[in-house]
Order: sequence, then structure tokens, then C-alpha cells
Amino acid sequence: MSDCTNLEMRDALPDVARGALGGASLVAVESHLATCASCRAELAIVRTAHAALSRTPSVDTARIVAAVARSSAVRRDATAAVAQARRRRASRFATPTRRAWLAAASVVAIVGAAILGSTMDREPGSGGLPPVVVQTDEPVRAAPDPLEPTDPTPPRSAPRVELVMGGGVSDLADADLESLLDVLDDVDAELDVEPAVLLPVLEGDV
Amino acid sequence: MSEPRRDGEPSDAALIARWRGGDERAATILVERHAPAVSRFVASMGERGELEEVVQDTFVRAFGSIDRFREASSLRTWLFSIARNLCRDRARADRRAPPVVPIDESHALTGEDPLSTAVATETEARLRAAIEGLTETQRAVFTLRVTEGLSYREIADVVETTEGAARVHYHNAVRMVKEYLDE
Ligand SMILES: [Zn+2]
Repeated sequence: MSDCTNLEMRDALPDVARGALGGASLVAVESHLATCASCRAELAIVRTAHAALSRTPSVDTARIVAAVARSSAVRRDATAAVAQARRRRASRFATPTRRAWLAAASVVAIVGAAILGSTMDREPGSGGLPPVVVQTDEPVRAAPDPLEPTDPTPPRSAPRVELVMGGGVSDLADADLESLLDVLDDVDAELDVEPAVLLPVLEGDV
Repeated sequence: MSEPRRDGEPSDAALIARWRGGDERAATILVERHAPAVSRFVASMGERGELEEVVQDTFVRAFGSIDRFREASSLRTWLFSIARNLCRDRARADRRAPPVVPIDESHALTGEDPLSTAVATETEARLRAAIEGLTETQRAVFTLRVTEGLSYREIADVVETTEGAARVHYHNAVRMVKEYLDE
């Protein structure tokens, strides 16, 4: 027996099998069934499938609800812990916002690298490297001193400054952080550009 | 087949809002409302041994990401979609693992599976075997249309396809089942 080509009728057969069709729609399907052996056979199959698949396995809904509650409690606790850690860190740094602090930190690192580069150029062989945190009363420019020969290579990387950046601020002791923050307070005033590019990385740093 | 809410019962959207507001009773109503359909679907997808675990995971995941749930779609459709993905993940993992029990057709035909139950008639058992021979997508589409009465639009959401493709999958599934039964 070839399949009936009346797809509209065939599409309705599952609804007939489930007893979900009524009114004019049901009348239309029934009158089609009266003349279409293919659809009658298909309806029989759909009815059997419905009977075979409709038995509901018993599941313990109370257990499921308990699992949902447990899982949401864990999530709530984790969210609260993260929020608390953020607050703690923010208050520990005592800066207006973490963003501003981090923006300032990146600027200090860059400025520091420039200072170290030029300092080491001026004082070759000098044993004492500048401190990790460089405090300056004047805005520092990375431009070379006009009296010095221009160095075509980029400023030498400064290992200790890299430590500050690479090690992460969270590794610093509170005293170091405090002195760093003193410098940042000065630099902060000059900051008018937010280093947006840093933010995605920092958001995950909790 | 579904468990439509009785008159006067709150809608899914209202219950979700209550649950977000901290009303845990709302979760109980939602689970009781939808767990039967989800468990039927999971069973139809061939999950047996750990059916309850899959159903539970479905709800845990759904509630865990309820903020992503679009109120324009139905919660039930969304649950089917999560359940289907879990079933597929498990099927993939099972394929990687060496088969512990050899698959043999008599298993489906003799109704050893407690979910198939002894009351399954010979015709039903043959039909089950036919459905097991469908592709995963055909089986999902056929089950959702025949057992749960979903529209092609809703089915398309669950199996991530178009409404037209869902309809084609359904009719292909019916043809495959007919061919199996005619053998
Ligand atoms: Zn017909």
C-alpha cells in the first residue's frame, strides 16, 4: 500500500491517536479515514506507538526537587563567596574602584619600565637597581633625553617591573601594596583613559 | 501525552518567577508537572539503566540556567532539549566504552526491560524494536509528535532544526516504522 499524499491528514493522526483533536478538524479527518486505507493503517501504527511509548516510568520527584535545591544552594553560596571576596579585596585596596586601581597599576608598570630603561642607560654598571615601585613627583615621559644618543632599540625590559606585573598584585604583602597604592594615588589623578583591553582578563581574576 | 495544568494552577512562567524569588515550593510544582513527560521522553530515547539520573540532571541543569530560559518558548520544550542533549552525551560515552552487554534484538522483543513491562503486546514490542531502529533525530521527533503531541514548531526547537525539516523527519520515521513492520 502506497503512502497517502494528503500530508495534512497524516499530520493530524497523532492528535487523533491522543484524543486531542475535536470539532470540525476531527470530522474532516474521520471522513478522510473512511475513504483512505493507507491513513487507517498509519493511524493504527501511530495508536500502537502511542500506547507503547506513553507508559510513564516512575521517577522520584521528591529526590529530583532535593537535588535541584542542593544544586541551587551550592550556586548561591558560591556566588555569595565570590561577591564577598570581591568586596574584601576592594576594601583592602582602599581605592575608589578596582578598575581604577588596575588601570593605574598598568600605567605605573609601563612608566616604571621606561624609567628603568633610561636609568640603566645613564648608569651602566651601577649595581643598585631602582626599587620595584618607582615614585616620582613629575609626570614621566618615555621619550629619550635629547642630550643622550637616541637608542633605536625599544626600551630594555626591566626584570623587576615584570615581576610586579607577572606575579600578580595578589601575591604582594599588604605593606608592599600600601606603598604601591601611595604611588598609585598620585598617578590616579593623571589617569583619564580606561584600559578597557585589560578588563576582560581582570574580571575573571577573583 | 502531557500533564496539562489544572484550572487555577499557576503557569510555568509564574512558578519560575516565584522560584527565582526564593519560593522552593514552586520548584516542586514544576518538577511534578514536567517530570512524567521528561521521563517518558528519556525512556523513548533508549535510556534505561540510569533514566532517573538523566531526568534529575535535566532539572538540575534547567534550574541552574533558568536565567537563560526565554519565556517566549515553553519550559517543557526547553526541558526536552536539555534531556535530549544529556541522552546524546551518554550515548556518545557508551559508544566509546566497550559494550558490557551484547546488544541483541531479543532484548527488545522479549520485554526483559522492566520499563517495557510484561503487558507489552507483541505488536507493541515489534513497534518498540522498529523505533529503536530509527536515527536519534527521527526517534526524538517521532516520540515528541506521537507521545507528547508537540507541534513541528516545538519539535524543531528541541532538535534544533527547522519546522519543515522536523516534519520531514516525522514522515521519514513513520515510513521506516512501516517498513520494519512489513518485513
Ligand atoms: Zn490518507
